[in-house]
Amino acid sequence: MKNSKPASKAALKAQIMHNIPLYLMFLPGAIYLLINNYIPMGGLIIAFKQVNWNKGILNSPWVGFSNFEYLFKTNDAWTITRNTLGYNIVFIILGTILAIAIAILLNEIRSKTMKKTYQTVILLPYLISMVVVSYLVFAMLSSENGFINLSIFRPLGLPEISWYTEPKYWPAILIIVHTWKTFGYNCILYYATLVGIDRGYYEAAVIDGANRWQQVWNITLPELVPTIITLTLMSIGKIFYSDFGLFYQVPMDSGPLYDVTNTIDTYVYRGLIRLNNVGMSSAAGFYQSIVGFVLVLLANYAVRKISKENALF
Amino acid sequence: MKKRTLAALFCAMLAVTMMASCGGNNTTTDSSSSTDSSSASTDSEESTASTESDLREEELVTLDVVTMSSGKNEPDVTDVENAMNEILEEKFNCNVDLTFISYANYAEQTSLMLSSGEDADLLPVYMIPLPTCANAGQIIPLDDLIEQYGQGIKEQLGDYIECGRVGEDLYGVTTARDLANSQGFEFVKSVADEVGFDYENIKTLDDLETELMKVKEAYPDMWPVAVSSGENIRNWGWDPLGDDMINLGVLADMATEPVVVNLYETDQYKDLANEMYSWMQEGLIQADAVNSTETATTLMSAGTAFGGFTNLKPGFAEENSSSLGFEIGVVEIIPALGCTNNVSRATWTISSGCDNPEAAMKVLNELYTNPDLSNLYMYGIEGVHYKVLEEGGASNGQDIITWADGVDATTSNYRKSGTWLQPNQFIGHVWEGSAADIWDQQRDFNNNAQKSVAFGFTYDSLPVTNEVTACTNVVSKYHKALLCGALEPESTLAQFNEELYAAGLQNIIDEKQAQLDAWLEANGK
Repeated sequence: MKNSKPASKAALKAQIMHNIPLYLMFLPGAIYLLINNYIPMGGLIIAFKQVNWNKGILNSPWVGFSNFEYLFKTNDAWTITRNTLGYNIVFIILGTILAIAIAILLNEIRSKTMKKTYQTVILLPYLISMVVVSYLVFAMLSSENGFINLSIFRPLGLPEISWYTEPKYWPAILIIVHTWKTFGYNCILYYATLVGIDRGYYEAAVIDGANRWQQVWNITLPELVPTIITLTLMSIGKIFYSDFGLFYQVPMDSGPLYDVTNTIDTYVYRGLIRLNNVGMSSAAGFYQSIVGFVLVLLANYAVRKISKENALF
Repeated sequence: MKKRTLAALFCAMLAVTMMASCGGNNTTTDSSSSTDSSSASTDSEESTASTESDLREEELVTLDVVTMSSGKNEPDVTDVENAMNEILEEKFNCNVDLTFISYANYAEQTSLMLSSGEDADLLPVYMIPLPTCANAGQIIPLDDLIEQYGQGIKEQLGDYIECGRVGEDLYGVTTARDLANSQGFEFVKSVADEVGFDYENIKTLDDLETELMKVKEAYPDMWPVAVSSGENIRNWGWDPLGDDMINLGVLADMATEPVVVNLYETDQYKDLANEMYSWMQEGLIQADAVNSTETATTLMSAGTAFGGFTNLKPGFAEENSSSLGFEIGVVEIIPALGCTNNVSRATWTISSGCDNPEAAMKVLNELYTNPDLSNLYMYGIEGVHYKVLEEGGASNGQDIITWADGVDATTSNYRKSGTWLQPNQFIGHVWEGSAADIWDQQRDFNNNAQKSVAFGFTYDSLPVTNEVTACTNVVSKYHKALLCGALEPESTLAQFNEELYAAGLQNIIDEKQAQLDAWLEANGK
């Protein structure tokens, strides 16, 4: 693809004609985005309306920002914001480090069969539904029949723990579960990049006497930087969303744990499940996307300041 | 370099996402909207009796009628539809198109139907608060229609019809069922008899506790009390004034005084929480009760639990014994109390998308008053889906029935399910195993139950939406856990109430009190 400005209309036309196959390839994706991501944005006005289905969405009365009030009014506002952001930041940092480490290890495995086996095994948790995961966790933690209480603590004579009423353990539990479930997926993304690194660099490094560790530090990681930045920026865009399944299903919606498990999504769900108010739920979604949007802009701006070629835009 | 890696990256991402997103859900109900098949001309029948022809529509009207089924789509729906249409076409020149939605999807799917205004003309609103639908303009006021075409409904329901009001207007008419609830304990009868569980003489929770200890001693591996989905006790003699399960501002102590109070500060609640906490310490309540996703009856069937707290009504033990396959016993501890939300929890409504509300009301009235039509809707076709055991054996003059030859609950193509959500089960047949006068018993129970002073009052939460959202979150944090005995009440209750007031509970109580006072005055009470 040429990046230079076309000199004249004829040249522009020629360029378009030349690139027609590319445009055609771009078309399905563009239509998908338009239908699924852009057209529904019109629904944002619902966040500012008191919806009356009898009158229809467009004719319902405007109510300004009153649909947003409930998100900030209570002293839960701080808890849910802290939980949502805090967990996501930990997930991003820990997830990235672990995924890169495993990807590098995978890359070092010589046997083709073993490599494929490991790839499949670490990807499996990503494909399991959160509901199923919540029961796997329950099988571990149940105070009556759970593996940890029954088979570890009891034989060792340690006091048993009522996991589902003790908030202090849950930040660790949630981080472990989330990391276990998602690192395989992220790992494959990094692995795909690793495979694309030119072997020549490593050969040159070996000739110069570099050991494995030096190769990783000086070749692999710098080559991974664009991928890391892309993936991190994408995660930052979603930093104000939480994985509903993880925070609702895995703690089994246990009330005593809310201080450490309540996030924006679960708060909105619990609060509105009875009221059935679409205006208020779209207000929450609107707020989340605005914050995500601003954070992506900021993060990208920061990246551009440090290293221009790695910025997304 | 960068481009190539990015390309590889996105390919990998796409592939994995596609794998992950395979496997959607295909649990949609088949509501083939059979519209105007109205070639059936009507002019030939204009000479029928004049009183009848007054009610007949000029052109054939097809109404979409929605209700709940027990799970699978009913394959014989068309046959039942045709049989019902024979009656309705002759009388009103109306047809019905029946849609069934399973219990699990009911609230979600009807709420979508109401929002789009399509595929549903006549339907029971269940599990969605009636004021929510009315305020959102999803359903229409019924007063004029009832006055004109719904006298039969009025006669059938009596006072209870008033509970379907939102503000001044009537929006829903309740189904005929147990409209008041007494509270008590259900248990496995064989175990009770074996350990000498003295259910005749249990009057209070303390009595119950003493007896439950016997079960615990005899069967250490069985939980004396099991909970349903983390909920141990839903109500213990208070009127939640529309906020069922979250109880934001209630009339406490059998609702005899019209003073709205914070339930979680009352002695009534404190005693209950303390009692449950000590039961938990004694090992009477199942471990991890807060996280339980099973129902008490499931655990009772599995033999791992002895019983559980429940709402009671006449015939409860017989009905559940026959559906569970083992004998159930019950003790009543809190006598029946009639509250508006027991009644308005399941009401038939006409959606605002309905093109012909008059016809819908005529059909609804017929469903409330015509036993033949009602029986078809509830039980299917005689000889195919059910058979008569004893003609005229029920006290309302209808028959005692059971499954037809060769079919049963699992093989029938039109199953009786949730007849309490059908308009009027009281005029229909009685299923084998229930008392012959079960419907009269339930009617008497409704009529004799003590009524809350706010009976008939419907509260509208719209002015305090923000507070309700915040308080709902606080309540779900503590309430269920407290009544499961999982939290120590002394310290927790203080914190609970502090958070409730911080979330704006006082505004809700004030708003409720103001609405209640206005209602009391308007109704001359």
